[in-house]
Amino acid sequence: MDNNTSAERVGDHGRRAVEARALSLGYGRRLVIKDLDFEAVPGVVWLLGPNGAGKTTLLRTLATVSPPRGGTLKILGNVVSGERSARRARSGIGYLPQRFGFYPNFSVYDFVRYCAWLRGVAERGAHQAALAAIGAVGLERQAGTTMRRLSGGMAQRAGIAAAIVGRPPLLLLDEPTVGLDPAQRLEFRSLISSLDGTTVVLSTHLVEDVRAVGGTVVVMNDGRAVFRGSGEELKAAAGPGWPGENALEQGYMNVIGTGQANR
Amino acid sequence: MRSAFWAELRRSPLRWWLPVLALVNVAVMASDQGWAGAWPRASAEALRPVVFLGPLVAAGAAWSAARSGLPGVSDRMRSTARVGWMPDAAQLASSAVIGLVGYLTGVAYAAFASVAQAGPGFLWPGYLLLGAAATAACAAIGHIAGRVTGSRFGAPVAAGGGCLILMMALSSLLGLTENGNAVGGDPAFAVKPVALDTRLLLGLGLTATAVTLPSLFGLRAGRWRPELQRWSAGAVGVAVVAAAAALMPTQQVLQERAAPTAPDCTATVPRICLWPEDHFYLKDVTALAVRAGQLPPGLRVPAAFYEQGVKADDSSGFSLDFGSVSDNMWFVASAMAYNVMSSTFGPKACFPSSMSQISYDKMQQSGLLLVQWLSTRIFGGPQPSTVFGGPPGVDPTAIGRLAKEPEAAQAAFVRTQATVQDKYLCKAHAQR
Amino acid sequence: MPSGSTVARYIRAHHWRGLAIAAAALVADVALSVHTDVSSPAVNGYITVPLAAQVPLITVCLVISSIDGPMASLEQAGSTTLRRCQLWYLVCASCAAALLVGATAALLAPLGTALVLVRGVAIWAGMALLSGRVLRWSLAWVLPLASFFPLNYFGADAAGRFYWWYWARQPAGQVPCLLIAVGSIAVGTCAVALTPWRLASHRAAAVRMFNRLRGRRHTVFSDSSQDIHART
Repeated sequence: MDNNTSAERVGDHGRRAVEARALSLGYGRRLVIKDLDFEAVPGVVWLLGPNGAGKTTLLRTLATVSPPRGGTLKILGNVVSGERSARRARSGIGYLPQRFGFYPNFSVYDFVRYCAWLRGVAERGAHQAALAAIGAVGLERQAGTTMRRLSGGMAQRAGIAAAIVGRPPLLLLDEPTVGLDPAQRLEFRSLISSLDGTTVVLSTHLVEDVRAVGGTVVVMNDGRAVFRGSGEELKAAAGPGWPGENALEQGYMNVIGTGQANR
Repeated sequence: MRSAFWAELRRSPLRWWLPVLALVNVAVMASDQGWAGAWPRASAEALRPVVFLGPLVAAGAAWSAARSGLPGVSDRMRSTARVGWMPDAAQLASSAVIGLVGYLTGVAYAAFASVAQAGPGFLWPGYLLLGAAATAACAAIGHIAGRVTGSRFGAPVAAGGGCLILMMALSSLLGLTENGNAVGGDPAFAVKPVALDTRLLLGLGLTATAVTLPSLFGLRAGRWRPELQRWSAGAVGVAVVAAAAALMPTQQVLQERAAPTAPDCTATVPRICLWPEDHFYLKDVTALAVRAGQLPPGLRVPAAFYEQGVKADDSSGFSLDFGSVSDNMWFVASAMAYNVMSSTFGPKACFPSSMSQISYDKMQQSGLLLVQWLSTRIFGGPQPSTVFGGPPGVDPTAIGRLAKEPEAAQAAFVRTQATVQDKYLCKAHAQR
Repeated sequence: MPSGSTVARYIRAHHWRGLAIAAAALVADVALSVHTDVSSPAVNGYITVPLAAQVPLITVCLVISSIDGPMASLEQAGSTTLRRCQLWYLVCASCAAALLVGATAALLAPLGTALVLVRGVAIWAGMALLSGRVLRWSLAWVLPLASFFPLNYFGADAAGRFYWWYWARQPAGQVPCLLIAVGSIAVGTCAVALTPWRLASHRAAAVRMFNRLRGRRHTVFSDSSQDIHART
């Protein structure tokens, strides 16, 4: 099902779904990210980086959950500077937090439908959109099961469904493959690849996902983007003598400056 | 919003409570059905379970709302495109609806139990709205407690316990009792519109506060500043609650109704006139009136007896506020007995100031004996065992036996007691 | 007995701030309500009950519910140390709550009133333990709150005389109510002692006994092609 309502509502944003200039983000007195420039166009953008690099912080800000301390943020062509503009932007954003919460009594269908409502998906068509999203993650048979009874992996797939329901133009997924078994990860990769016209920004620790899907890679370390480019360019950063699959890991470790991976 | 509301309603933890709420309601109503048959009384009776229902609804609403403290839920709510009050409104609405359905079970029972035998009209909305406002207010209080604390530990206990204290300590302010007594649904009184409006405002103010303010709590660096409208709505809600709370103690919940233009009267001599809403009692009071007309000579029986409020500008009269039909008829008979005494011996006992204590006691005892006997004669039997108390020093069983003796013996009894009354009461007031 | 640091750690993981606030609120509640009587609907009209009757109820619900906590799922796999800590906490927190309520009431009202409140704590504690064990610890308030209705509503006869089991209105030394308190604590203790593992083993033992009484033996299948039946 192709639901264009979200895109229409947020207006024509041209090519860039996300434009951030000189973003500063933090918690309390701690500044986690300082003066970051970030852009995302339709396609897949991978956020890699060690723990504490600022990936989740960045995604939360792009999802307009937390306001930036400084800099400018444009989501889907609209400047986000206050709660009203943030709320307007959210109707075009599908967000899966790293630790996403759900109401334990809700069934999978209720959960996905409720999240669709939270995001402003129009009531008419929401039922079909929810079913389509549940089908896309392979949870048709669990649609009536309460969330508390789902395994971790199934709950994660339900969270993905809640993020993609209504086909938002911007998808922000924080470690979406946690808890998924290898077969489900393959399905997830093909799901992401099939989202034409959607800007998908995901954070991950799994380099093989980057390898399989392709797209743009942004490596973050210590609150800065230390690399931005394609997977091939990251491989090239490994230097000569790193054949095959290890090159991506070595390239990653070179750009964050931690030395060599095992050959 | 509709889909969110239905999802909340379908999945609310409170839905498991619905049978309990309904059971509590019906148990309270069914335990004593003296109110059945009179619409205002049935309506007032539906208020009684709210004292127990309210705290259960508050605790359940707090439990439900405290899910905002579950890991990850907060971020999900903060990433919503909907206006901030909408998710809270959907959840509170589901809790309130379940509470109100539980309350309405009792209302439906009241209607069902009364419809076959009640007079004109139907349930009185004033009483029903008082109960609904109290139930909705409890749901709102629970929601606030749950949302603000996000704690399934303390919020249900605090909300349930807090509402229990409020219900018990402030039941008269809420309109659930009047001056510490049951709101009996006496047709002479009705809920004062201003008082009802204040309590409805309290419920609405608490609801507005519940849906606007909780998301503003915990505001700290790292959140978008909420729009002015949300602050304003929350402030208005708090202001309305404060104003209603300030006004409530200054208001009586009930006001007297104008006397009916066409009371329901028995076709007897003497006649007894009731409120049309108490038509249910007409058959029973007719029997009383017939027996009052058959009293031995020497007693002056008034031409008519009135239920309280039926006669304009006359606040005396009997009340039908005592529960079962049998109990009610006893108290009506007692009230009629006192009327007969006043009519026969004077409205006000007047006796010489130099009267000795022995003489005074004799006069008192004689009067009490006469009242008890008159009550028994008019009632048509001895004082029911469910009615406790009575004139001091008077044995109801002995009087019951006296009332079964031949008329001549009873007439002699009347003459003896009348003589005692005449001896001591001021001749200027004697109207025999 | 667990060490002090273990107990302190346990308390920190179980709503200590909320309990501290609740303790202050309860003292205020007792002070404000101990001299007040209110009307409560009853089956025969309305009865006058002490407003302080709700204090033991709220106290107990808070204390017993605090066994639940954010690490409940980890605690389910806890060792003997945790279990001992939990039991000590239950006993000590309940006694501390009873002492707090009783001492506050004794300062402001006759000793008899204070003892009635303490007795109420004991009775409702047993109910809360049963409720917490059957449902979950964060729902320990369900049974006590639900019991408030029948207790008050059916607590007096038509003459306004309170029945022997209406403990909020019976003197402190009244034997039946003391027995109710003892019984309630016993039921609550059994509920706590019946852990899921003990329950499962008792259930298995009951099934075995039932089968033995009915004269059955186990049917053993060694493999799909050989059925071995042993029948008496």
